Amino acid sequence: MASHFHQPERIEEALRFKQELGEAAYFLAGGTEVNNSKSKAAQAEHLIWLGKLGLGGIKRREGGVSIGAMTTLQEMLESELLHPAIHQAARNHANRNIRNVATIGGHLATCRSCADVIPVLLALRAWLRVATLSGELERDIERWLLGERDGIVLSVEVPDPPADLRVALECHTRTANDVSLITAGVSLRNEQGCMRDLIVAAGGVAASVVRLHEVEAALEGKPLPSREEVESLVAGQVNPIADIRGSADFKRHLAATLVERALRKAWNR
Amino acid sequence: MRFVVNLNGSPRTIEAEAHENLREVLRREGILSVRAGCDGEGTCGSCAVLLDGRLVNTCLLLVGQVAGRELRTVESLSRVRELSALQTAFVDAGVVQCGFCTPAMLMAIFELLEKVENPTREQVKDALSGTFCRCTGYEQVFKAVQLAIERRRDPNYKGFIAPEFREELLHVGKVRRKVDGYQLARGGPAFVEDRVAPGHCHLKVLASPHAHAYIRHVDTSQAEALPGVVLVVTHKNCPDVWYNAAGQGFPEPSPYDHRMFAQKVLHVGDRVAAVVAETEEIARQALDLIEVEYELLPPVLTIDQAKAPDAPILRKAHVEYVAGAPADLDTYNQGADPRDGHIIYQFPIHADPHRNLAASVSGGIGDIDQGFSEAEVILERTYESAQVQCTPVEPHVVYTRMEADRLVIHASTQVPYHLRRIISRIIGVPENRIRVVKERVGGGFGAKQDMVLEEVAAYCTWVTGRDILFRMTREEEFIASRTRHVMRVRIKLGARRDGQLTAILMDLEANTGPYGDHCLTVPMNACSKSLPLLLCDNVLFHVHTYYSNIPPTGAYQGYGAPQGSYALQLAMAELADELGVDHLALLEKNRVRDGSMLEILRCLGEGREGIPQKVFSCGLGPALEQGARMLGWGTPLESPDPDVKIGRGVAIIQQGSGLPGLDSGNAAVTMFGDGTFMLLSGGTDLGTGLDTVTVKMVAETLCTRMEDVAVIAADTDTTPFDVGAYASSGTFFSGGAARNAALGMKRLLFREAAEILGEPEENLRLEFPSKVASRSGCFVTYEQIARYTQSGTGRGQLTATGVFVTDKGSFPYGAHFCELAVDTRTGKVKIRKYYALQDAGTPINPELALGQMYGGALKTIGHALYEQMLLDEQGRCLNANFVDYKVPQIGDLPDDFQAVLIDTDDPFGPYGAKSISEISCNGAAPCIAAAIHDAVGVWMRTWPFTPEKILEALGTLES
Ligand SMILES: Cc1cc2nc3c(=O)[nH]c(=O)nc-3n(C[C@H](O)[C@H](O)[C@H](O)COP(=O)(O)OP(=O)(O)OC[C@H]3O[C@@H](n4cnc5c(N)ncnc54)[C@H](O)[C@@H]3O)c2cc1C
Ligand code: FES
Ligand code: FES
Repeated sequence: MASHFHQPERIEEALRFKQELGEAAYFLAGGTEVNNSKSKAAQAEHLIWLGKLGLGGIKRREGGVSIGAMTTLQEMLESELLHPAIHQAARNHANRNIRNVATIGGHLATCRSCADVIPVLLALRAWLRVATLSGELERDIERWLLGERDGIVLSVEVPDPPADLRVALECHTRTANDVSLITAGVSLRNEQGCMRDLIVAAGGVAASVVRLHEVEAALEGKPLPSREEVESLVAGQVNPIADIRGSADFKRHLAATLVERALRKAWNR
Repeated sequence: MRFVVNLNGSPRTIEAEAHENLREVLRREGILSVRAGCDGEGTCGSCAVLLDGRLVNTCLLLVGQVAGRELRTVESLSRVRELSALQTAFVDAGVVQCGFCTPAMLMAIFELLEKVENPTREQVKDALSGTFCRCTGYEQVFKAVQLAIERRRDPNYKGFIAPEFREELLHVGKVRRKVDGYQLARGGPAFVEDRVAPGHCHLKVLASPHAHAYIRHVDTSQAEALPGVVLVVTHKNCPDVWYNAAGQGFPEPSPYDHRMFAQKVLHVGDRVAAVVAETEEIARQALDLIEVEYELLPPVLTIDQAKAPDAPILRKAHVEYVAGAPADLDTYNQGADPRDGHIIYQFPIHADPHRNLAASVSGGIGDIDQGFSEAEVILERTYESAQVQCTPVEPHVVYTRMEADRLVIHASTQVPYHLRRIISRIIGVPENRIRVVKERVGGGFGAKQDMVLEEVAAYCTWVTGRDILFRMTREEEFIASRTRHVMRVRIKLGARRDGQLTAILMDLEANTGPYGDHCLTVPMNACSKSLPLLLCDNVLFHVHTYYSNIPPTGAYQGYGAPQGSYALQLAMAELADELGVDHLALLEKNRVRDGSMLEILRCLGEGREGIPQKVFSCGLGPALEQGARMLGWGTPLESPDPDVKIGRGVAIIQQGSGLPGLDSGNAAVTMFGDGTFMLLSGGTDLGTGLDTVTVKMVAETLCTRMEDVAVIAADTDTTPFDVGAYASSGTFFSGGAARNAALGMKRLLFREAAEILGEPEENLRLEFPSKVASRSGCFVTYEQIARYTQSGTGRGQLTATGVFVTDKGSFPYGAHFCELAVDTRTGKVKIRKYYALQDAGTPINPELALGQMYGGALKTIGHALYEQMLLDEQGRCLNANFVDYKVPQIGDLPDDFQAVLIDTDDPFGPYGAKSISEISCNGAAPCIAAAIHDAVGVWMRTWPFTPEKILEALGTLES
């Protein structure tokens, strides 16, 4: 259990604590990960609580919506400012008790392979505002997922989607109250019978949520091919690991099925 | 540091460190309702409160995060003796069973109702999506919410809660507020942990990391030297007593093959040492200081490994028999290894431990060969069941202390009297030195029928004189308490073309794990609660149970019947398919009915000759008829989605009502000075409503109000002997005992009233409320009788005792139906409709009976679809937590979930009652498997039916 609980009131202060304390310190947001008895962070000596930095709240901005990092997933689910697909993703996240404390910042930083809300953020071309000691910057979520995860997430910026953008999500859980095993999130526009601006994201198939660029490239500008074609295309692009929740084959099959379903749903919308 | 929070409406200054766990701090502050069921992994929701009006798990929060904020707990809902409308609604709707999860559920719904005036079913599900309840099956929550909404307008609103039975009776068969509802809905104090006094010690166990090993050397000196360590116990200094941990009537059919600590460890998680220390942290540190050297042996995990000719042997024990020793025992014992200790059998159970055989039995009726030769169709199939855990939300926990020179054990147990007996033998003190107080039990489901931890704490308290709390972690609960026996059942059916059965062979192999608790009786029950459902002249069964190094097995609601039922009922579904006849018609043709004579039971006694029984009250006919109607059996099914296929299934089920000739219950009723009564019941209420049953028995028999009967139960100092809560015996035996005690009181009342009124007893009758009246029109009140008997010239305070024993069996019957959808691309199964129709004789508490049915059905839907303990090759459990071991919760409810009580009247049970709970567990696996076949044409012969297995069966995935 931690023995120090820091409550910085300025971002720089928080960053500096982290810089000084290094591995021994964790940022603390909602705490569903950090305070979890099963997590590594539960052993950390120092906690830097982000609750006094004013990072909560969802705001309308020019050309989009800004979700403060300390916003809980339940608040996102209840916010009328957010895209319905974000509501759906948030609803897939665990359960009410967890959603009431888990924050979007913590969700991004935890960066689970199957993080439920990340695919929709990719599908909506959201980006992050991140504070580092060298200043505030904008970060592409994909780069964040690929490992550029230093600093404090200040907010998630979701641009207003084009009016004809179609978004669809799928997920597979064992029971209703479960972390997803495989997720899929897609967005596209149908331009005269062809798919445009396609984004295909999947969770549970790699260390973190990934965009399936090859699948996107293969389908961009085309009408949606047959189910079998899409499925084998996706299956060829994902390499999930086997674990107690399922064999690699099963997960690959699920990923192919769910991505195909999401694409078809978006296509037919 | 000091923190100010707004706690339940007023500011509270809390002395704590900012990084302290909020749940622990709240407990310290006297908020007992924040319970723990998952050791802070955030998966059970038992610790939930409202933080600024939103439901949160306090185990996942630190005090610093909530400083200055508003906390609201269930303690704020009720006043001194008055429950809020929400709380009474919960109790009345039958959704408070063990009550462990109740505070969390209440706060979840409290938040919902603050925000939404008339919530939908989906909103209720969302509100409770993080609350794990193993007892109730959730379904009645929707009614509770409805009731709560109405009661906000009209506090006295009753509404329709459940059907009622027996018009002529006052309390029995009626919806009445559960007698412990008040205590549970308030949030305690009620459970073992609520009883601990400051300054108590903690006990922790060093668990074996190996599945199979000798302890070559153990050094506890460093641990003992650690300041704050009170005692360290290992096999070197514990009592050298071999015993049986199964809470069964003496003499037990289970072998005495436990020692408190043994020189050989037999499963990952087996006890190596115990540390008693001033704090939990010191106890943990001390465990790390114990040095153990193991001599590793290859683990035996499966039935096939256990019975292989060259298998490593778990139990090369020195074998002793109390009765019936075989002639060659001395020769046998020459093969013993002293490090393997002893096994004592009270009587032979056809074991051969030196070959890993824990027990065996065979029996049958008629001539099986003849039966198969008469058959026109023979079907042979094998079915396997997985290891599943009972997962009571409250893990095993015990608090032991000395009171003067006597040992007091506050236990969360199903068998307080067996505990007392077994512990008295281990410690070597008479039973009258030991008091076991059964507290409210946060779920048992069979796991608490066994003595899983009590003897260690009891012994340590006896030796040190210290108060000791011993609570299992969730992981320990998985790997070191009790689970369902793994079984492999080969069924061979012979039938005529018209469906008439000519022969049934049931060849059952079971894996008991490291200990022989229930090793004979659970597998036998798999036969005795499935075979008698089908009328067939030629039946043969074999049972072989093997030792292995998997986590221990034991009793689990249903007690083998779910596995036996799955095999035999699914085989019947397969037979129907093979014969091309309707499954329901095939069941109808072969099923048991009123008046059937169950000869097979003669060979299914528990280690002794059984008693054949005639069936007197069988509700199967109406259950099948009504269920088929509700489901629209036989009507065509259309799926709008080509990827989704729909199917239907059915299974018939039965159980017993206690064990005739073996079980017994006792009770006493005493009259107080104002004519009210105290009932002392031996019965063990696990949240099932047994205390309400016994109170109703007395109030009904004595024509008095339920409030006029107070109850104390299952406190071995105060209340008389009862075998405990298992084998579906509660209502029948404990209820029967209460009724018999009340009948005794009635006779005393007549005697006294006759004297007071100067009338012959034949002229008297009891009249509600609390009067003895005469035909002549005069009467005397109970209060007057009490004053009369308790005066200086009276006969003394009236007390009557009652015992219930019987040689008659009463069997509850039922049919479970389901309709489900299989997603052929993901393999996922969605239950659309699930109907459980069961006869319980007279349902004493109809709303609670329904709750038992919903709970049993949902739990076993979980077993059928999701649950399985996964072990690696070394016998380590890979999913000993709720993140990876998935239990069904409210989001998994069938879309349409209905429990229906079929009215029958039993001639033997008190007021015609039979048992209700265990039977509910027997239908899910076979009826779901049959429906999966109906939907997609594959037979699922091993449970759970996971998506991956279904895709494999469909050929979509390679197996
Ligand atoms: C029971 C349970 C069920 C869950 N179910 C799901 C599920 O269904 N789907 C799913 O996707 N996830 C699930 N999770 C994981 C969940 O995503 C995360 O727990 C949650 O979103 C993290 O948010 P938090 O605010 O609680 O993070 P915290 O625990 O406070 O922090 C998590 C990590 O993020 C870092 N961090 C927090 N905020 C920031 C920030 N602003 N900038 C930089 N770093 C930061 C912390 O240092 C820490 O390393 C579950 C967790 C639990 C305990
Ligand atoms: S104890 Fe808090 S969620 Fe289980
Ligand atoms: S009543 Fe919910 S866990 Fe027992």
